[in-house]
Amino acid sequence: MVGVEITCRIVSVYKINAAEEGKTINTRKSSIRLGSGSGAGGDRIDAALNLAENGGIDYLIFDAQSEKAYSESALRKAKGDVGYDVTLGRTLRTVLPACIKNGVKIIHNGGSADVKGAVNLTAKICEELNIKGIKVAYTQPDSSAALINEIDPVTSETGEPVSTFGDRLVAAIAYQGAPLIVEGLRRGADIVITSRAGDSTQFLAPLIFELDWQMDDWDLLASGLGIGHLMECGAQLSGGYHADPGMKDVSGLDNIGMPIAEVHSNGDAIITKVPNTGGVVSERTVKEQLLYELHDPSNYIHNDGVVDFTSTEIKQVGTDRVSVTGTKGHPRPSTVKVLLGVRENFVAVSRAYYGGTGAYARARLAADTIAKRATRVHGIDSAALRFDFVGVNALFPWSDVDLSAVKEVELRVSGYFDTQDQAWEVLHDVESLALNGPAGVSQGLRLDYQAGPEEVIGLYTTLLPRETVQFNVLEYVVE
Amino acid sequence: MANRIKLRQICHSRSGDKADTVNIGLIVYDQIHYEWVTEHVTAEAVDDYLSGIPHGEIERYELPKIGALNFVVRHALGGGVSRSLMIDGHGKGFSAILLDMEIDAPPE
Repeated sequence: MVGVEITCRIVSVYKINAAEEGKTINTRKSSIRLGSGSGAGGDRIDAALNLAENGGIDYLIFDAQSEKAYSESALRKAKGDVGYDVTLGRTLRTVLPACIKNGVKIIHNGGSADVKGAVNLTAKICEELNIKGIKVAYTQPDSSAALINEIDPVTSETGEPVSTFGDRLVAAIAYQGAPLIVEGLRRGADIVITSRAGDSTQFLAPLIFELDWQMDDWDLLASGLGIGHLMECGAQLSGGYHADPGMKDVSGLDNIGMPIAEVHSNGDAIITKVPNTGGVVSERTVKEQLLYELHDPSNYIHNDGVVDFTSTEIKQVGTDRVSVTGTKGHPRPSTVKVLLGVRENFVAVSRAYYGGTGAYARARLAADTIAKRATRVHGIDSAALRFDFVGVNALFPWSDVDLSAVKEVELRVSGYFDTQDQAWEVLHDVESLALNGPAGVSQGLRLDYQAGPEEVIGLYTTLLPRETVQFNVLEYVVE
Repeated sequence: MANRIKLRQICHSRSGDKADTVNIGLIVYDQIHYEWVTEHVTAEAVDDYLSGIPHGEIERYELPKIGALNFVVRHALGGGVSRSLMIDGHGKGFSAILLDMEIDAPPE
């Protein structure tokens, strides 16, 4: 395997002069088709393959990042393990042959804390699959970690300087805007891998590139970000997280077709899905996903622009075809959001089950017993423990539950611990309820218990002036 | 006394998280009910309904073109999914919980 690497330093991402950096491509199509390959790392790979093979798409876009996933990657890397999305290899091995055959470009934000590692893996998979001559564009870590040391900005959530976290700060990364991906595409990339491009951004970028949208056309940028917002959670747009038997029936949940957006150069879009699959694309699914993780609908702030959904219109125009039009936009913010990952403490979860008459009373007694021992024997503040009675009131204190009539309860014990040893003491205590606790306890294979305590990476954010953050785009040619 | 209905009889819903905030989108099946739902499902009414779950301030936003309300509930997820001990740390179940809320039935 021989690789060629070319670097392009982008000091201010909105003043790219790509012509200076070598041969680039410009294009102005009237419409393109984007496919959503995943809504999270580990999403259904057979559905992504069907999309690559039968979706008639130009781009296959994978969102493998959540704020949590990024911090987990950073921590894994700090411990000497893989710092990129652990499902990246499975994804590329599965979809690459179909993408190469059909001329589908891939955009993936699973580079996480080790983008170079992700690119090396991509090159290795190309070699395994005997795929040659493809170009991978990727981003390097941005300068935000160094800037934070220098400027020591205020943490948005705490109001304290970031330096207050000390060496507990394990990750700092700026949300990456569309111009980085656009730059990769202009350089002819077949695959673009970023460390932390915003979910919606990944869909906006190919629209800017292919439809020749300008970086100050706020309504078009907002339309593209709005489409990205709808598409970024994969099947949640095409029938997933929607079925409510008798009220909203969805057929074929075992084989939901991943969503496809046909986007026109004027920003209008049709949402549809892979033919001959399960799921549904309806006004209901599109409206629900428009509201997903939304705050003020007139001021949805992204790196590249601000989306106003209050003018958006959603109309069914055919079977599994819904038009989305009319989204408006405002100028992008002058700051860049930076995600901070901070090591905090440990959490642990374990469970015991009680059945038959008096089940709730016995579960309650077990909980009280665990709490008493935590304080008296282990020196743990019982306020750090949480007891949920699953089947009774764990999700909501339902007003119409008769506690004495409950016939099965799961007692779920969880807590925050300063050390792993403390966490293990409580986990052992839940286990030993079998010998020491109330009657009629049911316990089997202890999956949570075996996993043990988990370290908490707290997530915070800070803001840096947009012009100060530096990004690099590199390209790697698999020969 | 007016007949009562559960919201799920005339609305559907989707909820999601951003850090320690959950948002609950509420959408009428039939646009004819939008005005009634807007009048009866106020931020105060939802605040009262959710009183058994620790939470902070609630803001409500209106999206009349798609027949929807959006409730943004702060500090409702036990610190956010990266550290929450709640079973529903992602807040996706709040949609079903809100649909169980009762309001006066709209006029026939």
